[in-house]
Amino acid sequence: MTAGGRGGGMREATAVGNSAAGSGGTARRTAPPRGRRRTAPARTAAWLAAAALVAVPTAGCAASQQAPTTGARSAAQAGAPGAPGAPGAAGAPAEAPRQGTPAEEDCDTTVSPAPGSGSQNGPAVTKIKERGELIAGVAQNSYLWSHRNAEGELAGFDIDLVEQLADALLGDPGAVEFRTVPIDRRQQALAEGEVDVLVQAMPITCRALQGTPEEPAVDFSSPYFETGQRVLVPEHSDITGFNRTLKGKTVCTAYGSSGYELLSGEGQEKYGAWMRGRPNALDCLMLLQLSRVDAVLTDSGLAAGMAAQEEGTRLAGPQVGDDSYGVAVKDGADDLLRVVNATLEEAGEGPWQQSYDRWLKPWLGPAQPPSPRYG
Amino acid sequence: MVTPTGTGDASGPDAAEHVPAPMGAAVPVVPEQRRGRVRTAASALGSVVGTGSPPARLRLAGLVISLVTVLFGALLATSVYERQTAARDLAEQSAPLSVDAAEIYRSLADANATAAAGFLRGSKESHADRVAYQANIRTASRLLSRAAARTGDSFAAQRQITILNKELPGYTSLVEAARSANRENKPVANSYLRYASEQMRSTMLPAAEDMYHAEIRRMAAIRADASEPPWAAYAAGLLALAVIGFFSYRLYLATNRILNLGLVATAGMVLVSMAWLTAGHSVARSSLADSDTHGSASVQLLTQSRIAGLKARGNENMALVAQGEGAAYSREFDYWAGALDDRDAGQRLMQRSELQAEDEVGQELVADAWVELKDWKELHDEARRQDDLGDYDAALARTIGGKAGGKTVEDTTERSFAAMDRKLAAAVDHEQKQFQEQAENGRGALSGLPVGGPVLCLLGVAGAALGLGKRLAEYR
Repeated sequence: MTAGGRGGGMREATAVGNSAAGSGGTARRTAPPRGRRRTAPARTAAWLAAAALVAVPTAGCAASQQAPTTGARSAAQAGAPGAPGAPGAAGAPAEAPRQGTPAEEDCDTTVSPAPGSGSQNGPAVTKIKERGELIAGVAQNSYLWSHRNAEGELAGFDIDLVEQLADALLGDPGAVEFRTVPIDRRQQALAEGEVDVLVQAMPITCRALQGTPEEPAVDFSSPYFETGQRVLVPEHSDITGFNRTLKGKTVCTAYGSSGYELLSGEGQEKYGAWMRGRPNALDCLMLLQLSRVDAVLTDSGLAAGMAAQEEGTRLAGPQVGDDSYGVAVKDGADDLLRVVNATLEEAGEGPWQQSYDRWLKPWLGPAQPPSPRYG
Repeated sequence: MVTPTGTGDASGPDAAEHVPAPMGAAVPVVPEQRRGRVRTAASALGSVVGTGSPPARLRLAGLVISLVTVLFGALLATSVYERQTAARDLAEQSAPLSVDAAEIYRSLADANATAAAGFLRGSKESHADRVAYQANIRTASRLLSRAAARTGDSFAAQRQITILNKELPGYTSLVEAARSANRENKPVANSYLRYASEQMRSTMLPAAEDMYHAEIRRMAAIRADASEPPWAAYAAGLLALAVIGFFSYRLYLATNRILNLGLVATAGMVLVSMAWLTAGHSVARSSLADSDTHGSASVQLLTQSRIAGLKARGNENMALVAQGEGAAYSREFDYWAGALDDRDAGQRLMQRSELQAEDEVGQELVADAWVELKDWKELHDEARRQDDLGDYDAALARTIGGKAGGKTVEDTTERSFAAMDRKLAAAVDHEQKQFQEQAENGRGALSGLPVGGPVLCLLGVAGAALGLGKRLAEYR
């Protein structure tokens, strides 16, 4: 549960390259401790919010007072996690509340049904078989996971998994329609039956399992990837991991991610790091390339994608914390979950390893498929 | 009545200063010469109030009348000259500067939209995208250096120019980084372009907009200067008429002749000059007002509309660049599209532009642009539906063209947007010409006055001299 929850926030950043705004981590993640804060984010957020308040009225042409400028938008995003009191500026009314909603209790994230626990041919599976095609919601800018290659075709670790699912369900790995559903309505797309599964390196979180006022609940498969936080640094950096070598260094992480929580707590207080938050973890890679930050803290899946995009960077030190990714299906579609879990078990005997070796091993080193966890 | 006029204008400060002297304790100290002057001044004063010798009184009357008439001529010439200068500044300096500022603002918003369009086309980025983007950047930087040289004394404008000059290279290098990462098919390219766009929209566009508004305000101030009534000249003219009237009356009391032709001629010249001034000024004023309501104001509205369109286009493109995280951009698109045309709220820029347009040609251009805007919004809604359903390729093709589902999409939002922008640009040109014409008329109305007015006044002085000289001759 803890693990799952943690994954949530960070995953946002990861899979979909996403903003804090996305489907969100748990409360703990999103509302960082209010203790001592060495870093700029809170102040920056306050400044941005103030700037936005000033800028918005002056910016518009004669009558454009309410123009949702970028300034306002980033201020709101910055404001949500960093400064809970910051006014939800005009631009991003949708983001802020989602961030701030606390998940009151922890939950059990190991609730996925075992393959043999019941029917594998309920209404959800029948629907797919009758259609003859699996509709999968995927990301399109998650390097190594789900990304358009030079030919414009989606490829990556997640895409391989979708093809295995299609093979298991329909006997044809090509019987798939990929849909790149916007992150802020992907759970809704699942609930409304627009897509059958979401395979976008999505963390198993209580938030997603229980749903929120904005996002309907979904169900998850057993984990198909185990991850945790990693530190990405330039080749010649003297940072050796998430430890004392971060003292005085500026570390970038995505708002609302588990990295954000880790950094604003332990990272600052124990190791003396400065932190810089961005709405999107990929933005952190850009800031690293522009030498505006010294390191990026993000989960290993996304960190691998970053290292692959930028020669001259490496992952430093061991993984911190545990998260896991699962395949999401419509709430209650247990028949489909059983098929998915069976496929994952099957994949664990070979295909998973092949796909891992192809996409992730060069960056993350050797790994084993995660063992099934059923509830 | 009488006394103050005489003291004030006839004898001037000298009289005021020296008259009390004989009455004070300092009398013995006053040198001979000075005493003489005091006496002259005293007699001059006396003549006005009716005590001097008749010829002295006549000479003094001639002097005073000449002085006030010349004063009137001088004030008339300077006030007309000032207004002409202001009108020329308006047409030749301020108006072009505000046009430049608008073009800087527009080309930056355009660069933001074209950079995103080129990015979306990726490896298929056309030569045209590239050229359009670079042309916008070049235009902006060329006009910025020209504006820096020209705005000189305008602090507000200079500050914005400094900001823009500082930010522009950073912006272009981020766009270049985004392009090259995009060519290598790396997702981080999106971050670069979003970062660039963020800088554009949070820092550069507001600076350009402030600069534009500073120029518009300056233009309004100059227009106010140019159309301010020449009160000083009017006051001097009335004073001249009053003085002439007063002396005519005195002359009538002294000679029993009702009219002195010379003085009548002087009064006539003053009256004609005042009428000329009034007529010229009101024509100038009304054509300046026309240039404001029909030219300037409609140019401003159309410029606002064009920029709102470009901002909407930039956001539409960026929503797709953001790949699944474009909700904030989409909201911004809605805002700007709503500013152009929204039945219930918004700035109704299209409607106002159409009402403000000078003639049918202008109205038709705006109406055409409005039709294209409606098409654009419909196509945009379709593209957004497709994107929301996860059909990114279809949304992309609907927005920038290309193939979706094996078919080439012809009706793209790009086409509707470009058509709308072209119509608005033509409308801006049209209204700009109207403005120039009106501003020229305003200047023409006053031409001749700075020379003609003083000449008439001198003729008036000559008339007074002749008329009084005749009376004076009677004493010889």
